[in-house]
Amino acid sequence: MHMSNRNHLIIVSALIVVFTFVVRYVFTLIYQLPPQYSAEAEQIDILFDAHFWVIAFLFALVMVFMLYAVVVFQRKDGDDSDGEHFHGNTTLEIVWTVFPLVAVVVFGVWAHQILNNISEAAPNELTLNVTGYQWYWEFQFGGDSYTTNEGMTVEFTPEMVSTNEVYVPVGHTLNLQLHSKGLSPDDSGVNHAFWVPEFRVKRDLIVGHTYDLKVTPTEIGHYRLRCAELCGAGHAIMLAEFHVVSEEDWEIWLAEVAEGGLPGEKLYTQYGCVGCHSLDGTPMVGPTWQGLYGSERVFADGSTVVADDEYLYTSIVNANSQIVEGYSPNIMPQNFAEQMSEEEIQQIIEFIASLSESE
Amino acid sequence: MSAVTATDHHDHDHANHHELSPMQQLRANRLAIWLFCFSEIFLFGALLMARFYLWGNTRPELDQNLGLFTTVMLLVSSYFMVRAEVAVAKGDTKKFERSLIVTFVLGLLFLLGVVLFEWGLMANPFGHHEALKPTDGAYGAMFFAMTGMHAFHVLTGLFFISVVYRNGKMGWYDEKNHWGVEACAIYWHFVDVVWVFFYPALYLIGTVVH
Amino acid sequence: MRHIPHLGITRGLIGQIVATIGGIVFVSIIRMLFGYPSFSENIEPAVAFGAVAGVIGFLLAAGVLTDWIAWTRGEDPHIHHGARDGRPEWTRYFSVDVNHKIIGIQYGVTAILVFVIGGILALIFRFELVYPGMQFLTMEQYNTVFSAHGIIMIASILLGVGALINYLVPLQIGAADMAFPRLNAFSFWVAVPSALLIVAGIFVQGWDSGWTAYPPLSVKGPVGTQLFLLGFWINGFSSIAGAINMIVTVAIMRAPGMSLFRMPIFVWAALATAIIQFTATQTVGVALTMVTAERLFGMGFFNPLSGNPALGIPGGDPILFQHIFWFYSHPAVYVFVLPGLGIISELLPVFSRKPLFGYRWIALSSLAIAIVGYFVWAHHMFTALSPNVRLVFMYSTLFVAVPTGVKFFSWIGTLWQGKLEFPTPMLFVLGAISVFLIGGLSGPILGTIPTDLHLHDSYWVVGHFHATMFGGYVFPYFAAIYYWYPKITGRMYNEALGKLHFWLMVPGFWLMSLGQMRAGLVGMRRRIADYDPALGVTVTQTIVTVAALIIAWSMLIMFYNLIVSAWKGEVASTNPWRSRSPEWQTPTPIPEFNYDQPIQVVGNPYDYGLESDPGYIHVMPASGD
Ligand code: HEA
Ligand code: HEA
Ligand code: HEC
Ligand code: CUA
Ligand SMILES: [Cu+2]
Repeated sequence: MHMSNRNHLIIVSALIVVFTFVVRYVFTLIYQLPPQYSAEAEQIDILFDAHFWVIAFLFALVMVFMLYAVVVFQRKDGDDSDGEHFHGNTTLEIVWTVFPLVAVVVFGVWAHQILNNISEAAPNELTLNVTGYQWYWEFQFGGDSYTTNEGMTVEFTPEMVSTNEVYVPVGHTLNLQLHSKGLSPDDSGVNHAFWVPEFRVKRDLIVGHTYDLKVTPTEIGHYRLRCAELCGAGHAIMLAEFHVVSEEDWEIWLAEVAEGGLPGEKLYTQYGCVGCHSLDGTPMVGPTWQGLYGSERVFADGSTVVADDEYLYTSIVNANSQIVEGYSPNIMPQNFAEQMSEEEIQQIIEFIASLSESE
Repeated sequence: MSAVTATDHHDHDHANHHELSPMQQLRANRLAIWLFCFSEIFLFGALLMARFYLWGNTRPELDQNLGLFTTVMLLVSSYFMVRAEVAVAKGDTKKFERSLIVTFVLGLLFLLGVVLFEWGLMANPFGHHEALKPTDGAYGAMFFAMTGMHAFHVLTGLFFISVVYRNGKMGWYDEKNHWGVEACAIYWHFVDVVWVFFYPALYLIGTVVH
Repeated sequence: MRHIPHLGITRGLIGQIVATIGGIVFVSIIRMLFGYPSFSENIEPAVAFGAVAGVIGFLLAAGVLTDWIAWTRGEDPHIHHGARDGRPEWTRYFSVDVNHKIIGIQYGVTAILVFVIGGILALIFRFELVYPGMQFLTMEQYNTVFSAHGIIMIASILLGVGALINYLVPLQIGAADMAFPRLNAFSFWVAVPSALLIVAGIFVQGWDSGWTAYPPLSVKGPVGTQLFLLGFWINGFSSIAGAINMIVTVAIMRAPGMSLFRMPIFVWAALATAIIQFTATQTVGVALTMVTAERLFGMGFFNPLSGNPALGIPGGDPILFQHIFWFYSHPAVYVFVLPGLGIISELLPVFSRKPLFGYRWIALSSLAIAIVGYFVWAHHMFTALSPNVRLVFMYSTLFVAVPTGVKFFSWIGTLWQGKLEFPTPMLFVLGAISVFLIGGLSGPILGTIPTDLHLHDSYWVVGHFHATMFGGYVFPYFAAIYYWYPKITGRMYNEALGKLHFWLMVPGFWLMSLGQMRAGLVGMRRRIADYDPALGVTVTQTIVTVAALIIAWSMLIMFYNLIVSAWKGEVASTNPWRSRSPEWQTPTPIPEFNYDQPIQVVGNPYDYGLESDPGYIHVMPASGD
């Protein structure tokens, strides 16, 4: 084993090259980005790729040296002598300070460039107001109208508000206006974050601020908007369907939204019940309303009752009075009696009842 | 050397080499208290930064007379603290004790001015402004946070002064050994200097909007 | 048994319970008299007061404050050394004691106990995450459990860092103790009741704001939030007092001849750590106090609605909290790793039988990391900041890679051409290097904003920080335990079991961390009680849970090894590793005041293989006659 230092280094260098490619290949197996469905993603992924190369190289560099030393410079049994005596090498230290320095500056400037590109204003942006509540999303297109690239004008009416679902036309740069609101006027709400992994970009919805974010979806498809900032019990299920469709389909959907449904259904979103109660049995922070009406309710204290109008009324105005088994008190707001008129409460109860009839 | 003397020696040595010499101890103490003050700069600095972040170029309407009065009290108290320290270094016990009492009284006046009147616990004899409440938005919150944190330090300072006063009465300090007084003085000056930054930040910088 | 009632810990716990109850009753009565809402309507003020009273009760009853109180009464008590009232030696470990080695052990054992609590919490929520859908936790419970896991693990790290620094620094600089032994005891003991507050928070309604406690969520959360905030806050006293003590000790008490660049390298790491701790900790204190005050008194630091536009009174801003919080918590992550990296640098030369490569560069890189670390905090807020501000932080963040790289390359230089041996501590050191490497390398990709826009608040971040904390703290900490075990106990641990621990833990860790990063990259958010099966991360999540179990098993093996070897292990020689460091030259068990005779530094700490070596230290001849 009396190889010269130079020979050791030659072997190590060769191994590093090989190992870099191996690590980079392993990354393609274990580290996958979601599909790339926005103009922003196309640019960001280039940077991702570069990062993965650098990580692979540096990982290979340090690990090959270390493992090589472990294998080659082992102490023989019974050899109590010490290793080569050298303290350091200033040239080397300077080299491995300066090279990483250059590397990080290059990456910094490059990232800076990409960031500028993806936040540049596009010629014909479509403004979409996105509001986060605990725990649902509300969407409304901004302005009175929008002229598409083909010159068609789409009118927006104030009724065109949708919850946990939105359709946007493909290929248009969306100018997202992000707000966060509370469930009642004296509630500040909490922070959320807008993230559709296929689009890559992310932005927080901070209480008291309006932020903007530009996204240009490039592929028709059905994506999911996921709240990416911890916002309480319902954070995990604060999702919305984000549909990217053709312009025609978008207009059809807008017309549907403008029509609306039962009055109770509107209130269901208006007062935020949608944040905690699903209509289709999906488990959420509160019990689903599917099949609720007329069913037997079991409470935390073991008592039961059949859900009729009266029960629903008390549950809405005084949620803490009876806690459904498996759920927690103090989650559902206690002030709906002040916020809603008697009539509205009745409309909601009617709506809940209608969910059981249809079955 | 017999085994017995060796162990003797041992014990004897234990008794002195594990303890710092008085000189070393003094250096350690000094360094520690300066480090402590440096550490506290971050506490007060964070509050100061928060004030500029939230208030920007504005400030709430406060009683300028009262603010000036309390500030003067605190600054003058620092002067008497210096006098106390000089006096003890010269062995002038009477002057030391008297200066310490004056420092204490001035500090107390500052504290009462802030806590009783600025905080609106009692009607303000100097002016006619309605006192700010802690719940008055960013103004109330930051004002109470800054004055509260500072007042807490003044309070501990007063406590410190009274302990030093008592220990002085008991004859702990002389020309050479009066670390307690020095520590108390450093702390008191530090608290004072903090106010030199807080006072303009609260009372002078920015325009009153409401 | 008969000693138990006299132990400081017993008395402290009783004191805490009594004072907590007393505090709660006291506030409840006051509030009743002044006509505020009763206890059952608003328990928070009483609980908060009780919590603080409880901590003070603990300190008083355990006897931490006794000497200082005597001082305010005009007495000048002497420091008491050794067991009190003729009790056996072991009682010192459970009572207030000023010896830095005892305090170091107290820190170390507490750190492990707290680690186990944090680990069990991790196992609980890892089981919940094995499959999509909610298994046995509610969403609120999930939030409590992961939040508690995060902060309890961090408390454990701070304790472990305290253990290393307290035990090693005075020994390594040839001092008899820390500069302020009583303050040292305070630093440890105040961390105990504060950790208990955090644990209590889990049971008092829990909390749901993560370890970062961002308002408005933390202002709206249940009462457990308050206990968590207070526990976190009080823990800060421990850090600040400990760090000041440590800096003074290194400044004043080094052995004659020990110039700064002749200190063992760990002391440099400890110094850099202390510099961060005694400054930045103050600011997190401010942030936490503000949330506490907003909760208790309605002070609107962070609530935009608290203002009154009609009167021109501005409201609060939640971003402010994030700035103040991260101004501490980013530097704090270097508190977690710098001592561990110091351990790596300390052990490598011993097991390579070679000088530490680039001693000065390593020493100064610790300082550089600490200092640059102050200017990067907002990289945690790239998605919450205005576009221009964040650019500055992108560049500063990337610069941290440079001094960290210096350490890695110097370690390689140390290994190169050495005569390596691989007992358990060395294995853990090599494991630490590999793990910290992947952790560190997953950092710059978070530091460049465009990529962070995707990765922020995803499991990639979770993978990143587990890798950095395991590589920078957990692995080195275990290396340190095995390495100094013969000095501490006088016996050797079981080498085979030590190796088994290592060979289980390394793959366990790699599976866990790579799995987390993988899940994050494809789009899994962090801090979610339930995940979307459509993401396709179910298998990955199951693997992470299995990995957690492997890690848990490997740690059980370590506990068994450490406990049994203390009785049955082979008796160790004074210097089994043939180290040059001073602590190995003193007898085992180490004398009460470390060195029977003062030592003098005559050479360099890592001159392995030097011909005509003067050695590192000389024991001075007995002085006196
Ligand atoms: C032990 C703690 C530790 C350490 C050491 C680090 C080290 C680093 N961290 Fe990490 N980090 C955390 C703990 C830690 N981090 C935690 C706990 C969080 C999450 C907090 C929360 O939200 O809960 C976090 C989050 C976090 C974020 C925010 C992510 C987000 O939420 O969006 C970012 C962003 O920049 C970041 C960056 C970095 C960088 C650049 C380093 C660098 O210091 C790494 C430097 C090291 C290397 C790069 C490897 C070795 C170097 C070389 C081989 C030289 C050559 C290298 C190059 C040229 C690149 N970290
Ligand atoms: C030192 C710090 C540290 C350590 C060691 C760990 C260890 C582990 N962490 Fe930790 N983790 C954090 C710090 C740490 N974590 C932080 C700061 C957060 C962020 C929290 C937040 O978002 O606010 C976090 C968050 C976090 C998450 C993200 C949660 C979420 O976002 O929803 C996950 C998920 O997998 C996770 C997993 C694990 C696992 C499986 C381990 C395992 O390695 C644990 C292994 C250890 C054990 C299992 C204990 C061993 C001993 C025993 C089991 C003995 C048994 C004894 C008896 C039976 C008596 N952690
Ligand atoms: C922040 C979450 C949240 C919001 C918003 C919310 N709820 Fe609830 N709701 C709950 C929880 C949790 C429960 C179960 C605990 C209980 O019984 O009080 C519940 C229970 C109920 C029940 C009893 C259901 C049953 O299964 O027996 C009714 C009815 C109800 N809510 C109606 C409403 C209406 C109407 C609104 C909107 C105007 C609303 N909720 C908004 C969380 C919420
Ligand atoms: Cu909204 Cu998380
Ligand atoms: Cu950071």
